Amino acid sequence: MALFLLLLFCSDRIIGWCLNEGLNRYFGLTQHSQVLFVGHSHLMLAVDKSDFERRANVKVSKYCREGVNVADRYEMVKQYLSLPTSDSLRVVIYGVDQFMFTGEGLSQNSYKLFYPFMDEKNIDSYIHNSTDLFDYCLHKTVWTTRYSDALLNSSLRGWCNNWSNYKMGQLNVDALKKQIADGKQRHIHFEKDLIERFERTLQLLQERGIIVVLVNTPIAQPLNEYEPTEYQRIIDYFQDKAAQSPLVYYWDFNPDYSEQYELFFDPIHLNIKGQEVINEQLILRFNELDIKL
Amino acid sequence: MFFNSPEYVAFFAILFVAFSLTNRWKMLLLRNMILLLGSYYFYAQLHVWFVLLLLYTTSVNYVCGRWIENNLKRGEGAKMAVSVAIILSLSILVIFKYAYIYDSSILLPVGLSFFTFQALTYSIDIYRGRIIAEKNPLNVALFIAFFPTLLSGPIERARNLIPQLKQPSLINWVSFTSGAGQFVWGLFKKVVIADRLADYVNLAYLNPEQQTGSTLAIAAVFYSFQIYCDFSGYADMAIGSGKLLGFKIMENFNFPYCVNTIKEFWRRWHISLTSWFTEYVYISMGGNRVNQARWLLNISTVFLLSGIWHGATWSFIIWGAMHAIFYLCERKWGPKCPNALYHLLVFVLVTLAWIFFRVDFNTAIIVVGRICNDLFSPISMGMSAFSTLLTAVLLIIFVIREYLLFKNKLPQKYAIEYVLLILCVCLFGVSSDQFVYFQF
Repeated sequence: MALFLLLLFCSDRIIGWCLNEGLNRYFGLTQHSQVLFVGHSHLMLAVDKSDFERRANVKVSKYCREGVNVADRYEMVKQYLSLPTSDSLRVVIYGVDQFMFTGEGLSQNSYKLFYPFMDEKNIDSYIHNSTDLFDYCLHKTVWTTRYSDALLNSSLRGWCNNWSNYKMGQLNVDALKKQIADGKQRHIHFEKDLIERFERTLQLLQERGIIVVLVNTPIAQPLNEYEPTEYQRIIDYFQDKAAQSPLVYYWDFNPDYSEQYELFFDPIHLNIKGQEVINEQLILRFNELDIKL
Repeated sequence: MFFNSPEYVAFFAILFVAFSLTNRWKMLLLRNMILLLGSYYFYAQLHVWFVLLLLYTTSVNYVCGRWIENNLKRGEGAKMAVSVAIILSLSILVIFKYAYIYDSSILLPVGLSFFTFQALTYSIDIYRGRIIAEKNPLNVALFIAFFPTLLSGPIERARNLIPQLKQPSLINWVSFTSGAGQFVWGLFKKVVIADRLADYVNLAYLNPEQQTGSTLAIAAVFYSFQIYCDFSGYADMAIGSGKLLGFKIMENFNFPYCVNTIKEFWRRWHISLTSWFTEYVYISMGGNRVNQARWLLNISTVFLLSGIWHGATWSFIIWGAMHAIFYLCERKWGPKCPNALYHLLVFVLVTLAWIFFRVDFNTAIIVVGRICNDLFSPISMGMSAFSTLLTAVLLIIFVIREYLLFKNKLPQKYAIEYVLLILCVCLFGVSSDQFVYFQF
């Protein structure tokens, strides 16, 4: 029995460590990077980390995860800044879109994405506050319970140095228009709590002298035009943020690309071709910044 | 609180300690009271008033059991008593099942069909003179409410379980490791295979008109394994829990997909229900000691009742009727020495019948039509290609292990094997609070 438990414990720790290491590599949390990408799947699928590193000649950490809301991203930024590798960080490229302050739609259980990092102090308290005691203790004790399929996939990709976009499909614009006409589309909201978290994120980064680029990678045009007033309001908000600080920039790729539907896998995610185009543009604009790294 | 929930582990651990101590000290009355209270608590976690149904079924069968025994020598009185037990027990089942069909907002008590059929074995076996009526109502109550078999079987026989309840259990290292091993294997089947397959199957059947034929074919095969792993996983966890407490519960599955004939499939699928119908319906109707026409009627009745047992809807009746047809056709025209090709045909037929079991008749026709007309088409990878591929790999591993077990090529139970199973549960397990057979 003792041998069985020992074997179980050791296997759990070894597998847990390997998976955690894979994640660290995938997100670039153990390398001294000058550029950090933070966002959800919207930005994740728009950026080819390897290509960006090669052509912009910078080290990049791509800390983007499916379904993370603004509050989660605040935790992600705090987590990154608490790492010893963050001393080289100069630029944060932060994914924004019109649904950023809409609570619904993104995962309500996104704190589960942080289970693998719950041995870090900030993340530990974040998870402790987000879940019940039993769940917390289970994941704290058994490392292999911390990984969902998405995290396993990321860890495996980390070990394989693979950041490719595999989305091969193409957006069905008619289906999207029908969905909007049927009223099945998310609305643009301005939830106070989320705005506050976003502003705290900006403040945290600016206090450290880090440049923040708010990047709005393209979203299919029907989604941009069905609530025009609200849409314009949120774009104005991002532009105001950029105007208020020399450390904040706002790059919007929607005017040029949101009607090029062949670039989209679905209304908010780019396909392989879309990633190639937007990644190219991101590198060009980044190089134009001419930041001393 | 279900077998695959962490709460169950805590519940079982507390119960196990109390049960083991009272069992060791030979305090059987106290031991059984603890077990009964534990069983009622387990059931009350679903809904408190469900316990009233247990009390009702227990009262009916306890009183009728005594009534049957008191009138056994007089014949007619006993017949009337057993009829009353059957009618009163089944009436509650019929009321709830039909009420649920007309108003699906009604809360259908989980496990009602299982514990009703289990309770009936008590009254009928007294009538048949196989057991004597219990004087102590606690034994009857515990037999009916015994928590491992309560929600989804196996449907135990009174003559098997009640004698075990009346004597000290043999709890030792062998029973502990065997029970724990079977529980872990059941948990693996449920959370690593069944619940993962369910993600793909549910998505495919959500809008079958929009899916390709190949996707629906894969979903149909996945569903065959989903329902098997879901139900047999539950049975393994139930039997494993029983073994941990020193009770021997009948097996419910015996590698049903590793067989060559429909007849053999039914000997190995949901054994406790099939044998229940054989013992209490088929043999009562004369079994196979009747003329050909009557035998056909007997077989068809058993299959149709088996379908209706799942619910009084056309889906289940058609499923039962399909199996009756397969069974009869096989008897008439089936090969004398079934080969691998016939084995494949049996699996295809069983899978075809599961489609009608899973969805309503019209949808099933659409699914079968699309599979036949559009089989060689692109396959949908579901919500996530990585998850679907991972599920497929895990399914292959499961099939290999199942086949090796069937062929008795995994005779030794190594600790490493169970370490791997537990790690798979932790890593790949999907949490779900639903078992397919809870709805019956």
